[in-house]
Amino acid sequence: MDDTAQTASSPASAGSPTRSSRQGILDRIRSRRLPEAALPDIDAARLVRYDNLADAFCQSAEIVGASVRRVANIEQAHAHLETLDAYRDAAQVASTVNGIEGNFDPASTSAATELASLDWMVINGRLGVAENGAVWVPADEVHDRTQIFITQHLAIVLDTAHLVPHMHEAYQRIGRFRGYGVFVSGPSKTADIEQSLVLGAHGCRTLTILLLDAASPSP
Amino acid sequence: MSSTTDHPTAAKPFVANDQRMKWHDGALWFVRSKRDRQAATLPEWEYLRQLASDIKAHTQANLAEYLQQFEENATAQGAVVHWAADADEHNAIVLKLLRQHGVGHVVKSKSMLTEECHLNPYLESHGIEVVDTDLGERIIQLREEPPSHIVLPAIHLKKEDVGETFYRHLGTEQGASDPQYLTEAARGHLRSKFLAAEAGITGVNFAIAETGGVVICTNEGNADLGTSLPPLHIACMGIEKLIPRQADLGVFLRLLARSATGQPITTYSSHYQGPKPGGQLHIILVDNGRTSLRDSDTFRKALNCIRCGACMNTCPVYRRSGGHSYGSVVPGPIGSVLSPSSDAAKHRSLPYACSLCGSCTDVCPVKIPLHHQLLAWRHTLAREGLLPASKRWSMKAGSKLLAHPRLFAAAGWFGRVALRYLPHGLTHNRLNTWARARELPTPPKSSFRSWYRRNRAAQTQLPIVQTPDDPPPRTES
Repeated sequence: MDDTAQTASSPASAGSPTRSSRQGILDRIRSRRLPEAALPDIDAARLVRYDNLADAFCQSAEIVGASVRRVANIEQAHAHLETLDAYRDAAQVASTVNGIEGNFDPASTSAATELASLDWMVINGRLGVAENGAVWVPADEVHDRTQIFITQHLAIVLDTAHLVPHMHEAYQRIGRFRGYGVFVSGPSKTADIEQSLVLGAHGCRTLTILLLDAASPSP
Repeated sequence: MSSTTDHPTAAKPFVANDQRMKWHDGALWFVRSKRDRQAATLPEWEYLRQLASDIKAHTQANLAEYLQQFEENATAQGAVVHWAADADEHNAIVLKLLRQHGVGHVVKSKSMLTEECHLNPYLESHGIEVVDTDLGERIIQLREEPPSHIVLPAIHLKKEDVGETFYRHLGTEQGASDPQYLTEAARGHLRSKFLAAEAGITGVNFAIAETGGVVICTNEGNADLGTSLPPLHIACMGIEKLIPRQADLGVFLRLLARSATGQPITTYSSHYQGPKPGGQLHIILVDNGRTSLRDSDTFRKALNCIRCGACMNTCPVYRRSGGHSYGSVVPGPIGSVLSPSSDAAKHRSLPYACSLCGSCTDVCPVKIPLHHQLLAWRHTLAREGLLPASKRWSMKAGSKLLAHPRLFAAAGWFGRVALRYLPHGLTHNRLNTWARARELPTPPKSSFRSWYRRNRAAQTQLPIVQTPDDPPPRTES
């Protein structure tokens, strides 16, 4: 048993070229060979299963503070948004979803900071995860990723056919992607003051998920 | 904190406020209970912990190769990768980047690495405004305090304290302490900072060798705004944040938030591969003692840490002494393992801020044997001659006693008699710190060995060490 941990000697000091620090770090690591340990693969048979993915997803999403509406088509999704006071009263609504029209085109802005007055953003989600209510949104769903975070209210349209049970399958489906992507699970929140949960920290105040299910009954 | 302040002394002011201490204890235990409920929703919880631990062990064994792979792929994605041997070099790189881009205002999201490097005071001393954007971090930044918890930086404060701070700095109503109202005020205040910032600095939760991407997890959306609005994003990470494959994220993201706050996942899990269109992404890989920790067979697994804070939430000592009593950036069990590795003399009291109950080891999502490592630190400190005299002498006396059966038996007899007759004032006075808030047990009538000889010796084949144990029964009348 060695105990070299008490001295954190550093191979290079401040201001030295970063190149030599790189070599120093790599050399230091290579100078101490560790026993080989296999990289494990995940055994899917040992993972949680849900009888009904849509039910499980709705339950998880509501636990994390999202409001989920199951709709049969995009018209119903739009109709549901129109029932929300915050949506009807919104001054600026942007949408990248076919069939839901906004009154503001984010592409018309030249800088991300011009999005500050955005009230509602309606976007498509690519994938939903039943275990935690998270929705995968890659950057190519929006003109500028700022829109996902700066809007006061966020609505995501998601197809039930795109639900997966857990994160392992989510990453399997996502595969390699370009640039930026984010899992969004519920509205932004904080509990930094006395552990009291407050929705609407820096990102969206509310998250509405419109879950498209062709088989869903008309409201 | 001065290098001579030991943990019990530093904890005194916190412990003195009994009501607040109890609140703190309860608040963290509540988080621990939420963690338990979330863990129980997954039948594969223990399997995930094992996978996480195995992935980390594999990564440590092949760290140089994975770091190079990460650098190559991140560069291919358009990011710029920097290497820093220590905190000073890390800070110098950040400052140089900010200067190159003419940055005067920075928004920062939570990063324990930049706390470790004391980046904020460094940048401020060079005339750059740094705004912490995590609500808890902003609160303590305004109060000029260090964080007391790695996930809940302001957990030592009550809402009235926050109300007072915001009244003075943000102009909220005097006496207002409603968390909803205060959070709204911070949202408005920080929105203006986000919009005015010329650069965003973040930590990194996970870096993926295979893609060259980094992942940052927040609930508030502060890292996400801070990296989307300004054109320059500087991501600072310790070299232990690396994982081999994107698929491995599945394991770690499932463990992280459940262990940290009892949520199934954080609100935002942002995946950055290269800069945003028209922007720049710089990633700084920092060693600062990590390679030497990796050298140690005893303490290497501490590099598994994903900074969830579960070990703090469950620790009976942390919950009752508060994060500031540790005098280090990372408090709690993992902090007590990591801090002595950077300065053993300064942090020598931390491995003793532990009852060795093992609860931290039980909840750790990446299976760091925390309480074993704390015990190992005690061995090391003793060997290095870093124990206080009181502990050194009592340890010596203890080892003599336990090595000599006759002496042990005599001491036992003396103890049983003394416990019966010593006046309370003699055992409970200000010289005996142990007896504070503790009572001595009622002495047994005889030793275990004499009981054993009377009741069991006849039926056993085991040899019995003969000692002049208890005095003959006649003296007991």
